[in-house]
This record gives sequence, C-alpha cells and structure tokens, in this order.
Amino acid sequence: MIPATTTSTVPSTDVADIVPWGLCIIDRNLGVVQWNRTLERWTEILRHEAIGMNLGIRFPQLTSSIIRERLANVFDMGHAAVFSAGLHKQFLSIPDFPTASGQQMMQRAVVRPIDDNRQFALVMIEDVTSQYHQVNQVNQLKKEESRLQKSEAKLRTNQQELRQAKQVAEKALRAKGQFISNMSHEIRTPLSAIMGFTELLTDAVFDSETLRTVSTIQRNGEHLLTIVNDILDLSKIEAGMLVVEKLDCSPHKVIQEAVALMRGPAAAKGLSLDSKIVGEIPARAETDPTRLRQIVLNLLSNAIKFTASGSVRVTAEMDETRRLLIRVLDTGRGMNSSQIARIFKPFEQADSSMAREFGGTGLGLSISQELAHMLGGSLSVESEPGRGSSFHLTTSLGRFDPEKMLHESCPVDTTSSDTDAVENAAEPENCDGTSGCRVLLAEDTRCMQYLIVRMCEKSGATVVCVDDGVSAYEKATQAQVDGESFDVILMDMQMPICDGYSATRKLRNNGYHGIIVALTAHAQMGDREKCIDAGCDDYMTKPIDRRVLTSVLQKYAAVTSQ
Amino acid sequence: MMHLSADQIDTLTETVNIGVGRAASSLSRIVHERVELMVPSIHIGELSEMSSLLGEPQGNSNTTIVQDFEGDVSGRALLAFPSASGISLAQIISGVDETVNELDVDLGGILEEIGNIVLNAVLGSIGNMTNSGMVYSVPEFYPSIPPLQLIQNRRTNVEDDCDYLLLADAQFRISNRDVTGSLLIAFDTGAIEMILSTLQLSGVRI
Repeated sequence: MIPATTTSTVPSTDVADIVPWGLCIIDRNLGVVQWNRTLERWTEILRHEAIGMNLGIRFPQLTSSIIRERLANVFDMGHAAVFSAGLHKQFLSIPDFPTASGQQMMQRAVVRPIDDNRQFALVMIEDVTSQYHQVNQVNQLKKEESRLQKSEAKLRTNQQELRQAKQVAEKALRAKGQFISNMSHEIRTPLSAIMGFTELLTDAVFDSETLRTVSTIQRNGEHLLTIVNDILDLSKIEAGMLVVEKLDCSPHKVIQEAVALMRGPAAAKGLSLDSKIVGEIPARAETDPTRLRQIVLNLLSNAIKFTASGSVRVTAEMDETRRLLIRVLDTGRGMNSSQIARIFKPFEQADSSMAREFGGTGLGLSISQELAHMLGGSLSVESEPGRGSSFHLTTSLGRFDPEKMLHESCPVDTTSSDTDAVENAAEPENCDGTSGCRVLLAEDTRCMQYLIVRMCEKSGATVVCVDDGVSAYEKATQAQVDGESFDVILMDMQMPICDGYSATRKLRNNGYHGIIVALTAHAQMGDREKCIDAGCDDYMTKPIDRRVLTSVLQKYAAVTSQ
Repeated sequence: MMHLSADQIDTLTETVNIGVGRAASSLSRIVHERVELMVPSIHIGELSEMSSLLGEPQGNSNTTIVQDFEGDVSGRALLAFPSASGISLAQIISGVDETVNELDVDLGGILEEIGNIVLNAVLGSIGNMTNSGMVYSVPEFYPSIPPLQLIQNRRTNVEDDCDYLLLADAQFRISNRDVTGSLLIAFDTGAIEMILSTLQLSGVRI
C-alpha cells in the first residue's frame, strides 16, 4: 500500500527541478524570482546567484525592442508569448552549452503570466536541439533528394532530347536510304539503255573506226557504272543500309573467278597473274561471296593498275585466328607511309597525281575496307616505294568442315559460281536453247522495251511486250488458258498502274506456275529477297547484260521444255 | 438572434486591423524586413451561417495555429493557412531553403510564433476595445486539422455553443510576395453581446 501524500509535502521547487525544461519566474522588470536546476545546469548560474538577478542585464538580447514589447504585453495584456527556435535560436543565450549532438542548443520558449495581477510570469524553455537537428538532417536529405530529382529530371530531359535527336537522325537516315534507292533506280535506268544500245551497236557496225567509237562509249559506260556502284555502296555503308549475307560457298572459287576476270587486263599490260593456296583452306565456308569477290576484284584491279611490269599474285591461307587470309601482292611502284595513311579514306588516293594518271574515284579501297569489317575481318597493306605492295584481307569463315580442306595441289573447279548465278553467267556465244523461247516482257519504258526485245530476239526468242502489271497479268493468264504459256516472263518491278510485285503476287495467287524473272534498276541488299518473296523465280539488275539475259533465257527455256 | 450593423462591422474591422497592424510591426522587427498584414474585411455571423464561407472541410490541407482566450470575452482564435501557404510564409519569414516542401518542427515552430504574434495582437486589440481582461492560452500548432473541426472541438470541450464566428482574410506581404490565410475567432456565448454592448456604449449605432 502506497501511503497517501499531500501536496504540502512536495515543495513546488522540487517539481520545477525535476522537469527537463528550463523554468524561471520573473517580475515585470525581468527580475528573477525563481530559477530551476535545469537552468543552473544550462547557464552555470546557480539559483542563489540568479534570484534577484535582472534577466535583461544578464541576457541583453531580451532587451531588444520586439522582445521587450512582447514581454511587456505578457504583463500588461496577459499574453502568452511564444519564441520559436526557428526565429530566435536561443531565448537565453548560452552558446557554449555542450549538447549531446554537439550542436548549439536550440530553444523554444513560452512566457505567460501566472497571477491575476500579472506581476509575475513563468518562463518555460524547452531544449529542442535534437528535434531541430533531426529536422535539419531531414531537410538536408530532402535537399539532396530534391537535387537528385532535379538531376533525374534533367537526365530525363536530356534522354528525351537524345531520343528526339535520334528520331530525327533516323528519319534523315531513312530519307537518305530512300534517296539512295531512288538514285540507284534513276541512274541505272538511263545507263542501262546507254550500255544496252551500245552493245547492240557493237554487233551492228563493221567498220573499225565506228567500232572503236562504240567501244569507247561502251568502256566509258562501264566505267561510269563502276563509279555509280561505288558511290551507292559507300552511301549505303554510311547509312547503315548495306547488309552482308552469310552463305555457304567456296572462298577459293570466289578468288578464282576474280582472278579469271582480271586475266585479260593483266595480260594486256604484260603482267603475270597467278593464285595459290598456302597450306590449306576450307573447301566451303560461310561468307558473302558477292562482297568477297568485290573486294578481291578491287585489290586485283588496283594491283594491275599500279604495276607497270612484273607480276600480281593472290595467295589464300588460314591465319592464326582461323580466318581466311588473302594476300594480293604486286611488283608495282609501292607506297610510302603517308600514302598508305590516305588510301583507305574515301575519295583519296595515294596522291592526287594518281587520279590524273590512273583514273578512279578513290572509293574502292575505302569500300573494300568497310566490307572486310562487315565480313568479320580487316584489310591492311604493307608497302615500300619501289618494292611493290602487299594487301592483306582477312574474313571470318563462319562454320566450316575441317575435314574438307583444299590444299595447294587440289584441282580447282571453276565451272560453277557461288556468286550470283545470273550476274555471273558464262558468256553465251550462241543461241542454243533459246530459239523459239516465248518471252512476255512487262516493261513501261519504251527504250528499255525496245532494247530488251532486241536482245531477246538476237538470242532467238520471241517477245510479247506489255506496259504495266495489269496487262502482264491478263496476257500471261490468257496465254495459259490458250495453252500457249510463256516460257519466261521478264517482269520490271517498277511500273505504273500495277507494279511487278503486285502483278507477280496476283499471278501466283491465281495458280500461275510459269517462270517469272524480276527486272529492277534497284541494286540494294534486300531487293532480291523482296522479288523472290513476291513470287519471282530469279532476279536481274539493270543495266541488262545481253550475255546474262541470254543465259537466263537458256536456263529457263530448258526448264520449261522439260 | 442579433445582427451587426455596417457600422458595428466597420468598427470591428478597424479593431482587428489595429491588432494586425501591431502584429505586422512585430514581425517586421523580427525578420528585419517590412511585413505588411491586412484584414481588408471581416465577416461575422452565426457559426451555422459562417460554416458555408469556410467551404467544405479541406481534410489535412490546412495548417492552423490555435489560441484560446478567457475572460469577459472568451473563445478560440485561429490563424489558418493552406499548407503550401503556411510553408511558404514560414520559409519567407525565416529565410530557410525553399526546397523544403513539408511542414516540420522548425517551420511549424515559426508558424506557431507568427500565429501567436498575430492572434495576441488581434485579441489584445479586441480586449482593449471592450476594456476587458483576458487570459490567453499557449498557442498550439495543428498541421492537419481543418479549422472548422478545431472550432467544433472548442464547443465540445467547454460545452458552449460558440454562437458567433468572426472570419477574415489575413493577407501577408513580405519581400513582394503575398501569402493569404484566414483569421477566425469563435466567440463563446455572451462574448458577442459583450462586444456589441461595448460598441453601443462607445457611441456606435446598433
């Protein structure tokens, strides 16, 4: 049982001493009447020293006009006055008091009268240092969070701007791609007519003077076509639109084909041209035979162009990283280091006199190097002035069978090609197999109609000509109904009213099984696939080569006759 | 039910403005910057009528300083701000970083002192007008209770009808920035009669 106590047994000063607040009682002149232990501890002013002390003299900030006025109102008006830590920090200035946090003590004070006559007021001072400190820390965190949010917002803005810039760039790239596609068509179409008719003229003229003139036109046309192809290739590479394929092929055959094509130019300069396998290389590998041949042809063409006498040699071997290494070595003039530094840059040759002396755009090596990278390899050169050059092409071989390797002694089969079957058709010297071949030509350009008809007729084929896809569909369908189907439909893919893609799809959807060969002036990666997807059996690019056309007619006439 | 005439309302408005003028002077000296505080007009009427002026209860979007007063004139005085305005006012007065967007102990303490100064001054002015002595409570800071609820609580606590409510916009202007809050004084029964009686004695026509 806890004994009952009365308030008289507990002195009020004792209560005041055990609370954690600083408490004092002052009169209206700021004279101290009571002073508790907390204040003794905070101020180091003992109670007996404090009582009778004038608070305004000991703590002069209390005599500032605003505080004095507010304290006066406590006595005069009975106000309860609050003094916040946020605005005053300390009601009683004790800057050196060691708080637990080490921070300066922050005080919240309330002063209110305690008697009816308002002669005395109680001053209650609360130590809010810890709350204040916590709040400051929270505020710091909030500031940091705010700063991070701003940074994040800025980052988001930057990302948004980058996305927009990327979209603009991609749009520009698409526009460039479309431009390249259109230019490819626009340039190749007239070139196709120029070269085709020149070839027809070659057959028609017999006096040497005219023949030389026509040959010059033909040679320059071919040169112009090479330049156009180079520029288009470079543009496609820059626009990221050039895609290399990974086809099963014989790299050795590709090299042999390139060598075969360059034998004539080499012989014309009295140069020997040979090729050999060093060690062993895979009989078949995965690469893009068309692009590989393009690089080797470019290297051989350069080697022959810049070699006045001696030889050009091609070697093929496996390097230490199991990639194909093709070296093209010549005994030409060679290059110094500054010339070497320039030759792989677009539109640059070893020096400016080269263009005057040998011609060319300076694009070939730049394109070849890009293509080499795309084939998973590289293209480099070692050369010294007067000691010839050695170009080193490496390409990835993809998957290959290590059991099926070619050695130097292996016989080489060059009778069939891994590169485009149509583009690299053997030159037909006669019309065997095309005589009586029935061809439907769908072509909207009059001069191209005339040219292709003449080429076909020279091969012994008979041609029916239509101007658009609708007519092509009707004519082909009617011929089938009449039992006089065409052996081959040569379908231009870009025609008004109904293009070749739509006409081909419509024919296939209606059960037409005859041969359809696409003709297109577009020569971009993916065009072939688009044509095949539409239902075409084969694909020819303009300018139309008469030998290629004849070869195609022979090939498919033979198929239909079976 | 009594109704205050235009003259009585004008007198009360002037009385309140004397108080807020003193409060502005006090605040200016604290922040060492010119603080303008105006109460352009007041509305006074029965609490039931005035409730609609307070609008719908605004949930916890208010921050309020409350101070009770007892004596010949008793009641509850409030200075209320929308939270964002309260934070803004405390930030301007104290010069603290404006990236802080929540009321904390620090900003709450500052608002408490601002409310204390304003309410003391206004109530003191009314006390002077009515020549009545008052005892004031220590101000309390409520960061998230609607003012109307705080007034209703007073009615419950003191078992009084708190018949009349004085409501005014309190417009602070500091450093070319404006912050608007609401000054509310809920009078206990008899308080408004005391005020009207004083006004009549002082020659104001009722």
